[in-house]
Amino acid sequence: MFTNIFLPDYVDPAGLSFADLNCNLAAISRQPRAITREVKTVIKLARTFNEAVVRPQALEMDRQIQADPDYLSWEWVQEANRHGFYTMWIPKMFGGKGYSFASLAYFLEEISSCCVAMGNLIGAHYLGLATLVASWNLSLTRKLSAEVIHGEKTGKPCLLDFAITEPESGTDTSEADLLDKGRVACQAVRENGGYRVNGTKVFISNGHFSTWHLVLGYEDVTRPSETFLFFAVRRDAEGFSLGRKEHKMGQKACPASELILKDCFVTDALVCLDRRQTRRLALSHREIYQIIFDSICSSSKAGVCAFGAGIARGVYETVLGFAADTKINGSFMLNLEWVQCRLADMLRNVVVARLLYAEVNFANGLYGLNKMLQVKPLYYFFRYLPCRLVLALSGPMVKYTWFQSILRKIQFDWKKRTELERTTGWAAMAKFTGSDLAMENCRMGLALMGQAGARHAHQVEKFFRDAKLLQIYEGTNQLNRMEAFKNLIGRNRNDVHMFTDR
Amino acid sequence: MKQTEQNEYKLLQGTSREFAQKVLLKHRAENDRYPLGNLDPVVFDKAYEMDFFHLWLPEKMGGLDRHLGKLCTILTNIAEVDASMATAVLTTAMAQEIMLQAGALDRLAEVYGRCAAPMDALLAFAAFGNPLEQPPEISVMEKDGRLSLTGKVKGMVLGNLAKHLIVPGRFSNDADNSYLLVPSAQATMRIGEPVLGLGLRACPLVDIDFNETTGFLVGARGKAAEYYWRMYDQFILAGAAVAVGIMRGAFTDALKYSQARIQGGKKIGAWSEVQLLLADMALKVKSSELLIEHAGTGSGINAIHDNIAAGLTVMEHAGHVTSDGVQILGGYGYMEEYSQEKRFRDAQHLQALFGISYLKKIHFIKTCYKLA
Repeated sequence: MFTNIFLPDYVDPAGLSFADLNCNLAAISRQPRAITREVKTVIKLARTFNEAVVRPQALEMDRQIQADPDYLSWEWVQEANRHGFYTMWIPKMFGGKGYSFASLAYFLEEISSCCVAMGNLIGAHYLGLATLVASWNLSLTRKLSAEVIHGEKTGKPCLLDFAITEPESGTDTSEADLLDKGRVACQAVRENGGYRVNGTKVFISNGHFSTWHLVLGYEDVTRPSETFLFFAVRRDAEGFSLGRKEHKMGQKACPASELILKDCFVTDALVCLDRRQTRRLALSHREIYQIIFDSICSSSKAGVCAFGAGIARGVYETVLGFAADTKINGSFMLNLEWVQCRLADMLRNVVVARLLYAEVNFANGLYGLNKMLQVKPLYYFFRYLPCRLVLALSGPMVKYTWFQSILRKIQFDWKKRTELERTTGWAAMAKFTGSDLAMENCRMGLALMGQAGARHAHQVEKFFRDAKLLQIYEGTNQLNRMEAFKNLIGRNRNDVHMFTDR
Repeated sequence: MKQTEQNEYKLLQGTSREFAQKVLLKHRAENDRYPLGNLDPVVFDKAYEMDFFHLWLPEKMGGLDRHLGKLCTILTNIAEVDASMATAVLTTAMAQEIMLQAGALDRLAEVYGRCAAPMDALLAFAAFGNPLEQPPEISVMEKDGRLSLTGKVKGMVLGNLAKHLIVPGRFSNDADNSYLLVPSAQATMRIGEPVLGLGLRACPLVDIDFNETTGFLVGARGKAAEYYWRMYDQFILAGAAVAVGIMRGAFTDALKYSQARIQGGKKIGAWSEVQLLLADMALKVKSSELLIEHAGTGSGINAIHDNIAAGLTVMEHAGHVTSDGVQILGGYGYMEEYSQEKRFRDAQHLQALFGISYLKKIHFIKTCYKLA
């Protein structure tokens, strides 16, 4: 391995190697340089979009949904679709624009510095895509991606979402160990040609906007980790209906939805992954659950950390403007030492959050979901070949089940445990740190602005309401701390038992 | 504490709790939508019937004779259910205290002598500002023995409901502000739309423009800051009492939820990390109660230091406790149906009471420890 040859083979007393602690150093020479240009491009796109759409409308949209909590921000989804944001990060082999997932976090930070709800209207769509990619079901990924691309061309947005949380099961789903003790209820009964599903999913980001829902169900709810399946349900499927739109404190433009499946039949063609598809693999179905879940979350948690960096930055920039315009006892706040120090703290928080999601990006590029498409020859092959040619070349491969089986063998059976733990641990750390730092900046911002900060018109109170959700979704910050411990600190210790609390 | 006083406290506790549970709880969610929804005046009517807007007044005016401990008890019990009403009671009491500090008993008697409806008993006051912050934007002119105000005041709490306002303004030759009592039913005033804010939404806040509006001097000219800080020295504790009420509500709901919600095969309250969160909440609630209780018993300059120290500490605690209150409930805590999110917003908003938090801390170290 590269890291063993060129980097010191140092292991700290807690069992963390140099590679564990310095993904960035290992990535320097391996990450394609063009990704830096991609990052600059997407930041520029996001800024233009912010100035044209998000900044002028964010407060009014938030106010409108406060007045009418059932209002759906379709116009924002339309705008994001019109700007091509729902296909930008779909790989070219599936017909998308093929931007690297590494650049998505920078894009999300930029959007979230104006409004994190808009960030999540885009980000949650890629959570659905990540589920497809992490299951390595190429034909289904191609099918659904084609609909998203068609939706962009026709101006009828086609979004994906990921539905796991149930009314009685939130934290439970993050870990196979917890899942088996949990109270899941979304049951999929095997029938000829597919599954009949009954269950309810809650708090699903973008549920009311999505055309396709990627759902987690179980053949046996008493043995969920051994019998789980991921499947896709179209919004017009028989037996599927949308329930209530939650009335949230913040992130109001991004709906949290209830999805109801009542005797909903899912054909085999729409099953991303089930027991039948993994039985030839060496790993157990349960072990594959953890790999898929960790791979998805390692990607999505970089996004949540980027949301945190965005909010922290939005607050910092607002407070900086306020301090430059506001006088206390005849002096501009910007010239008061205590204000200067708080602004330095706030900028520090932005930078730390950004460094952390960048590190998760490096980890994902080296060891995670982005690895394959960031290998230099493949990256440049896909980047510079026209999309049509890529589709023509990759088309047949996507259809071959043997090709899919090989990919799954590589991604599941040959997956190195230490690499998975590294990405999962960093992602968990980034998630709870980025969201905590966003909250810290919001608190400082409100404290610094006094009554002005509490006014809706000054936006900091909106950032504050929005930021709190970052500490809750994608696993509560408490759970993420446990995951950081499990994957980075306790992983090589025989004396450690997780999720027993004894 | 004497037995009779203990009985009085019990009576006040019982009355305020009953009011909160029977009246406020029913209207809490609906009123929290204000100003984007309607504000049901019934909560103010009932509070008026219970004499909550008279609490701080001298006994002969039907009040409890400026009894800080009793005021705090009532505020805490009300805030446990709805901090907005507690802030409305507190704001009125703050304005009354300014008038009492100024020795404007006659004016006060005049206001409350004519008091026939709930809104007559309210006094509007800029409770979220302090003299250290923005310079005054209201000039006061005297002509033919009549005082007229011109300019703008931001953040008048209860400004669109109250019949009278206490407003700082500056006479042209004065170096410092004076307080004026302004009757609100004047064509020369333009009351802005209620401000949409982070929390405390059923205690409205407005900006007001004055254009040669008639006002009456409260106390001596140029003494606004003096009256304000004397009021602040006591009322910072009353603000903290509101914070304690919010914290108690957040902790009670979190504890209850932790005993009902099951994750990982057992009640979440049985997981040690959740226990630690709950313990942090409980410790902050308990220590805040003790701080207020202790601070309320002192006298002299030390009592003032205690009040401020307790008040600033407790209000900061409330931000953390309510955040943990949401966290324990997870996704449900973030939803409007559960009151934790409202408490989270209210507690943070409350920290801006008396102005910018950092300035209040600097003021504390400067005045209490004579720092240059």
